[in-house]
Amino acid sequence: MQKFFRFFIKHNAYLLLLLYCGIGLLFIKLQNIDMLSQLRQNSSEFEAFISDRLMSYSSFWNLKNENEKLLQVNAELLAENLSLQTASRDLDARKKLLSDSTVTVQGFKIARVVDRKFSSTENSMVIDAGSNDGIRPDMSVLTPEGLVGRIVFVSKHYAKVMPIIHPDFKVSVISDKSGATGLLSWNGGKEHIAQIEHIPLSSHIALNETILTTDFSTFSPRGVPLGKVIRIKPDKLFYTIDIWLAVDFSSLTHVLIAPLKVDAEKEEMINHSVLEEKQL
Amino acid sequence: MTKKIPVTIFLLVITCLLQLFGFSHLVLFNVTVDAVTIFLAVVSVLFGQRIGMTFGFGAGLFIGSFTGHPGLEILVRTMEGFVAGYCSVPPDSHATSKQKSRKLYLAIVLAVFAGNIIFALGMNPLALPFGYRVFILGGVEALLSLFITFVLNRFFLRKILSE
Repeated sequence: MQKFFRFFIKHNAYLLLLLYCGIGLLFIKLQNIDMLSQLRQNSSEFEAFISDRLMSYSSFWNLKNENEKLLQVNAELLAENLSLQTASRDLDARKKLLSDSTVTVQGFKIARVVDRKFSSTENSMVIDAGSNDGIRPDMSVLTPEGLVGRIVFVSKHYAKVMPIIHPDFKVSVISDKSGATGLLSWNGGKEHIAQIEHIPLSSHIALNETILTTDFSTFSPRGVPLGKVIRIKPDKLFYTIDIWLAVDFSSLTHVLIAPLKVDAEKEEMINHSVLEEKQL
Repeated sequence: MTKKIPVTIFLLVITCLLQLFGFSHLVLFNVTVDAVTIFLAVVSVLFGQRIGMTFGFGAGLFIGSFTGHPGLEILVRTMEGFVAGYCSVPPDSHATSKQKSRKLYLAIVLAVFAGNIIFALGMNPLALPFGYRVFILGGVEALLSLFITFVLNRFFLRKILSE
C-alpha cells in the first residue's frame, strides 16, 4: 500500500494526465448519448443566440451594400415577373386540363446566417431557423445563386449547416449541356473551387458548362446550380474537374431552406439493394 | 497561491467566453488566435504542471460543451497544460523575470504545437494535410501567440511573473 502511495505521489502528474485524457476519450466515445446531445443542443442554442446578437450589431455596417444588392435583385425580379406573367397566361389554359394534379409544393423557408466559422478547427455556418420553424436535418440550404450546403444539426431556434466546402460534403451533379453526371466534393484548398469526380473520359463535358444538382441526390432538389467548369484534367478513367462555385461563402447573409426531399419508396429500394449486396 | 486560484478560474471563464465569441472569428491564414492556449501556458508556468492540466481539463470541458466536441477539447487543452507545465517556474526559484519570460514563450510554443497535433488527429474540417496543419498552421499560430504574449508581457505579465 505504501509503495502504491509512493508511486502515486511520484507520478501523480502522469496519473492525472491519464485520468483527464481518459475522461476526454470517454466523452468522444459517448458523443451520441442523449444527455450529451441535449447539452450540445442547449449550448449550440446559446452560442448561436450570442453570435446572432453580435452579428446584428455588425450588420449595421453592411446595410448600404445590402440595400444596393436588394435593389439589383428587385430590378431582376421585376423583369422576371413580367415574363412570368405572360407565361402564366399560356399556362392557365393547360392547367384546366390537369385538374387532378397530385403534385404538392411546400414553400421554401428563409433564414439569416448568424455565424460562420472557416478555420482549421471548424467549418460550419449557423442559421437563425430551427426545429420550431420546421427545419430538419438533411434539408438543403441554398441561395438564388446556388447550393450552399445541408443541415446537419438542429436546435429549437437555430440550425448548423455543413457547407459545400467541407470535405465530408458530397452531392450528385449533372452538367447542363453535355449531361455528364458525377459527384461533387471539396478537397480543401480554395474556398471558391470544388471538384467533380467520376465523370468518365467518354463524356463530352466542356469548359464553362453549368453544373446542377441531380435527382440522384437524397437531400437536394433537382436543378440547383453549383457553379461553372473552369478546369478539365483527364486521368486514367475519369476526368478531374474543377468548378468555380456559384455561391460566395464570404458574403452570405440570407439563405433559403428547401423542404425535405422524402421519397420513402426510393430510399427503401436503395437500402434493400444495399442489404442484398451485403448478404451476397 | 490558494487565494489566486479563484481569480484564475474567473479569468479562465472570461478567456474561454472571449475565445468562443470573439477570437474564434478572427481567422488569419486559416488560423484562429487561441487566447485559451496562452492563458493555460501562463497558468502552467506560474502554478505548475498539475494545476495547468486541471485548468486545461476545465477549459476543454467548458469550450467543448459549446463547440459540440467536449472529448477532443478536453484532450487538447489538458495536453496543452501538461506540455506547458514542463516550463513551470517553482515558487522558490531565483530566476529573473527575463528568464521566466523566456520559459513562458517556450511553454506557449510547446502548448500550441501539442494542441495542433491533437486537433489535427481528431478533426480536419478543411481537409488539410497533417504536416501542413501541424507545422505550417501550428507555426503561424505559435508566432501569433508569441506576438500577443510579447505585447501582454510588456504591459502586465512581466509584473505577475516577477511576483
